[in-house]
Amino acid sequence: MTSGDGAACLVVSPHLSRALSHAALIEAAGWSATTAAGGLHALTQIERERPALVTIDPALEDLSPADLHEILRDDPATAQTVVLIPGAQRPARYGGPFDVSTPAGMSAPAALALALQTLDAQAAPRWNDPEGAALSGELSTLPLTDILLCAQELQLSGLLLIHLGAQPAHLVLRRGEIIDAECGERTAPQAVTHLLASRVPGDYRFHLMPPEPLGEYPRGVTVPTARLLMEAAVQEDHAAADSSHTALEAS
Amino acid sequence: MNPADIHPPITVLVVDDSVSVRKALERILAPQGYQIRMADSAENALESLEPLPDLVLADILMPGMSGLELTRIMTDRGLNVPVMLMSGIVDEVTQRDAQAAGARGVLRKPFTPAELLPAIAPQVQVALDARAERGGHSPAAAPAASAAPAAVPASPEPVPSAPASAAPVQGAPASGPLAGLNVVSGVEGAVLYSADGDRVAQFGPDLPESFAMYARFLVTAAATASHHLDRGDLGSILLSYAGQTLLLTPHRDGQLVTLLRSGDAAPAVTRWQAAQLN
Repeated sequence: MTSGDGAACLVVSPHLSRALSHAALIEAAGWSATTAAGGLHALTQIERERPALVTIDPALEDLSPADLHEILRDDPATAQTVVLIPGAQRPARYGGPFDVSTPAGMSAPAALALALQTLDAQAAPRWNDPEGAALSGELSTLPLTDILLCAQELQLSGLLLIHLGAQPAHLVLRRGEIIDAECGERTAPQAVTHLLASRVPGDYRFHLMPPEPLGEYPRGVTVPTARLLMEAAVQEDHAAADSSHTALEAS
Repeated sequence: MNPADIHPPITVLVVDDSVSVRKALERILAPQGYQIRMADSAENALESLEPLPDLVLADILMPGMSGLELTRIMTDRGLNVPVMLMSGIVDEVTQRDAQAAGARGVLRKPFTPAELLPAIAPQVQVALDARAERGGHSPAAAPAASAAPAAVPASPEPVPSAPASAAPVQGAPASGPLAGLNVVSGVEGAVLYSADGDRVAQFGPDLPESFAMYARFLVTAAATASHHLDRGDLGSILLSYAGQTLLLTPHRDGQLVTLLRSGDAAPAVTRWQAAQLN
């Protein structure tokens, strides 16, 4: 039965940490959000809570994203619920007026922002809009470590959206500290290490946020950013030393 | 027991006013080997009971007749079909009402397949027994599962503490279902529960009244887990705490809870039990 008194958004993902992170981002943007571990869990929850937006992880396990999407669309009670399935693999029936279409390679926060804009265009964040970024550019001109040093120095809070080639990634910062990271299927700590070590050309956008809404954000990264940067510098020195050593041997 | 191995397949009648929930349950249960029938209300469920399903999975809160009322009517009609209820709110009153109506348990919504499947798996044996009873033949063809009827505590509370100290065996039975258990070395007491959680026989220290529910839940959960582990039927569960040991075993269609001085006494109890059941 419907009570409709639940959260505005439901994040469905078998990966709890990712579901909690995306829910926290939605909450930081001003909407209430809750999570479900799978399709059945979501549907037995949607029945009671009637969320306005359902985001579905393409890696859903018990029901396929296509199954869940189809069930939602075939139920008159949820036929007009806004649904977001990020990624390139979309169900055949996906693409209706209440389905959020995201371009390939869009980062998770940008896709969430796009979905929230369908609920309230004025109130939603502009994480999908390059014009809304406080800082943007190429990583070749301003490397990630420099951006993070700058963010630390200025105690900045917000989202750092990164594209390494076609691979989207993002870091969440609060008062200059990295509190979460996402890059493909990696865990948050693995994602940070990967991003700091990557030499793949890419670009970045930094969207500022006030620190307070990120106060309740579940920390995926607990290592202090200063230490992460120091470890990255050491790695870089080793890599440089190795390459000069190899060059000497070759000569 | 794997429902996919049962022929004809176990038929589950899913009763829920939400088409989404009905479809989701169908897509989760059908691949497990269950045959699914669906009804969007309790009234329609009552009209679609012919042929009788093996198991009913019904929402409690629906427009019109509730799942509780449906269960009550099925019980009053003497239909021997296990009913599992589903509800967003599962408090003591709901549990009590469900039990009084004749339901086998209440699943708290929302739930995942990892919660649903173990909750209904134990009902399969009950359903097979009921099917055999209706057909007038022995259920021996069904796998000999030891699972007892499941009262699924939606949010299991901590297991209540059992007797604080081992008292001398009191009220030791000379006859009845526990006859002879009191003389088994290391046994300090025992309680035998029926399939419905009623205390059938007892000697030794008392267990809290609510322990019947936990005994059922633990034995059922472990029986289901043992099938998943593919190691055959559940033998027993040993609970050790504060110098006490409880042995929980399925016994006929109920559960036997034996208080032991130590886990070393468990094999002797198992031998006593085997002798009783043979």
